[in-house]
Amino acid sequence: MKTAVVTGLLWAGVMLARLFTGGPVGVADQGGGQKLLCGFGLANSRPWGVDGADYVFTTWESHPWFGETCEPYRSTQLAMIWLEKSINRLLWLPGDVDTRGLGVICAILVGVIVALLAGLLPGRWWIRAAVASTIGLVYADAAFAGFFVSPHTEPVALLGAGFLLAALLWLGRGVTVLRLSLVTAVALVTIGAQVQTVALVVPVCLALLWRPVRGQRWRRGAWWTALRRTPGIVLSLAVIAMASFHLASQPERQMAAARQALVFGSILYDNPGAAKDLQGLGFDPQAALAISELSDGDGTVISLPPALNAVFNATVTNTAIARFYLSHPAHVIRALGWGLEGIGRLSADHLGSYPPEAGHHPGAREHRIAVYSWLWGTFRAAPALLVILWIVTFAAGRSVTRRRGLRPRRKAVGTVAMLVPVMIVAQFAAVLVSAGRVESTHHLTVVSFLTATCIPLLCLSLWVRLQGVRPRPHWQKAPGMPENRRPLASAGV
Amino acid sequence: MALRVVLAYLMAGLTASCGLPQASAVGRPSSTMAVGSCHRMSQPEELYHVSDVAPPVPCTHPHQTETYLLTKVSGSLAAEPVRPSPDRLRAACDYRPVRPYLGARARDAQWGIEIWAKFPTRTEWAAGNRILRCDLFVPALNPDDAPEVTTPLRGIMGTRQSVAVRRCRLETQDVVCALPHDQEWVEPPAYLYTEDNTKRQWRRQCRVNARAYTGGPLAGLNVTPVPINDHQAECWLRHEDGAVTTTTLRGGLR
Repeated sequence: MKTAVVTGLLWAGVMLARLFTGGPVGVADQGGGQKLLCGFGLANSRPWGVDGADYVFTTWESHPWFGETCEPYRSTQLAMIWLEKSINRLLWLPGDVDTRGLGVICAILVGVIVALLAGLLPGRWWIRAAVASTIGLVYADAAFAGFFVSPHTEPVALLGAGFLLAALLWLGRGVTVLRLSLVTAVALVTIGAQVQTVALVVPVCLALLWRPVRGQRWRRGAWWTALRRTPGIVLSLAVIAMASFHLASQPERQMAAARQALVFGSILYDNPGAAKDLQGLGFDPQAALAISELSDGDGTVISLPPALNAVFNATVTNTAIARFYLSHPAHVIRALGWGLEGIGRLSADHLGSYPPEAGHHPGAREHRIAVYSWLWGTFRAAPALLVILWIVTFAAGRSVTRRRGLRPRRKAVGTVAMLVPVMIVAQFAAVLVSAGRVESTHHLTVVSFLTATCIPLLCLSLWVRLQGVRPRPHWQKAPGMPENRRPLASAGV
Repeated sequence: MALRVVLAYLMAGLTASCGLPQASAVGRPSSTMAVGSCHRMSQPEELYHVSDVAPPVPCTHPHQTETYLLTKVSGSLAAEPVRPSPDRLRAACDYRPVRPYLGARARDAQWGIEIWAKFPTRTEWAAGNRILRCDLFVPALNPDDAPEVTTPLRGIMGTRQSVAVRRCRLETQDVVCALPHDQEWVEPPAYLYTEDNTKRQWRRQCRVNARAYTGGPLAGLNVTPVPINDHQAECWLRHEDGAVTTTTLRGGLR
């Protein structure tokens, strides 16, 4: 408990210091923030002619939006913004919402996540503190920390992922209805962050259905065994329903624009067989030929004539895109390459980190803490290593879960190490199918974050696994043996 | 039905929809807009957006655009049930009523004004509204500032406020006359239909044009011809002492 509190406080402090010491840093906004915050009747206070991608403008002020000028994006990030709006004056910040206030809230929540992890992980206090700190270090890295002072949806997605890790660790110790409910609640917040995070439904349902609720010894039999699975099944269905509702509640125009961006920006990009691939998407040969002739193949979204536009909207649906990728492995490989490159870049480098008054050149990026960014040099050079990292983490996790005689606290690490690569793959596929090549690094932020957490998870899994390799004499584990007579007790094992 | 309601409430809670109802006011239907109405768009998103249903503001208040024409979309575009893309609709704004609207006479040239079209909202289009609003937009004097004018554009060329839409020059940089400048464009340029025109001939023709432009003798003023080709030259009017001003030399203004 003490370790958890101290580590949590330390990392909340580290986050606050790295975000605000020497002036605030964040991530600039290219217009997505307006779609999110206009829902609160807010507009960004920034000079008219400035490119939003160059600098961070933290203050949002009340502004009346009329008609179609505000078609708000639905995200659980709105809850964070609502919270910041409630305490903005308390923090002595200008405007109605200031993303610096959001940074303060997120820094505290990072501290809470690190504290929870330090409390839930196995091992001696310094191992728990060290592993939780490596997760804290991921949050503090230049690739992710800036999002906490920004109007993007990434903060709630990243924090949700962290809370989900903690909730899964707790669930891994033993399945109870309370723990299942907690995982469900955290998962819903995370899934509701972005359209792509809906893909987390797969690993979350796996986690909910993995093991039945702990049974009471006096209740045995097939009925009770089936009943023990019921909470997991019910909550999984709830997660699927909520995720479907989240998808359905997004403005259709934004979804259609995303599909157009995917087709022109990825499928038709630098594609000599564009007409044939468009037929694969469901277009008739004439329409496919007409669209392929209009497309320059440079990734630019073109404005189609009305007849073709109607055909496009009717043909290109989410299902059609999914079916296309399933039947065109070459396109999957192409998309995989773009995706891995995107994760390899780690930081959305086209978005500036500093406010204009900081005096940096437009689009300048901060590197206050860049441990993972530095480590990522390896993945930038060889993106295929990312896949190896995912596989090895999954394998290590599986090895831990299959190890007999491990305490639930330790086995939970294996469960999480297995689930995180599943989360990564599901999320990765969702991003490639929904957003494609364009701005892949930005869209894959959550995948990059989870990939970074694989490193401490892999180390911890290996440590847990190797701890079990050394055989112990039976007398050491014998019931009734006093604690002080265990030879390994002093070593904390 | 019950499930939908439960999901709606749950998701509303999750997405903090408590703040969302105030998101986007209904505004004023596009069909009720009038020629001469002025529109303030303090956010770039509002200016660049396809439709605008925000209530107009008085033209003496800061604003960005002013409606000079309301026109009905016709032909195949009008027949489309879904609002066509803006780049196809924009061509429907006729530029010919612009000069009469500005009150420009033969020797007045407007400069820097852009035409922006605003379309009915998707809902209004689906309901049969095909009225296209054609606005005039005066860019900001300073690129960092929001473009804002505080005077009506209707008939502006006959007033001293026309400095906001006249072409001047500071050394070699073209600017609107409301910004510091040392030369002013004379409308029309000089035309000579003879061959081998000399500098003197150009100067003489520009002086004739400049006198008509200022509405009197060119006392204390110089006019400089800048040939564009064999038969045409720009005429630039300046003070003899090279004074930098923010006013216009056009004569007969209110």
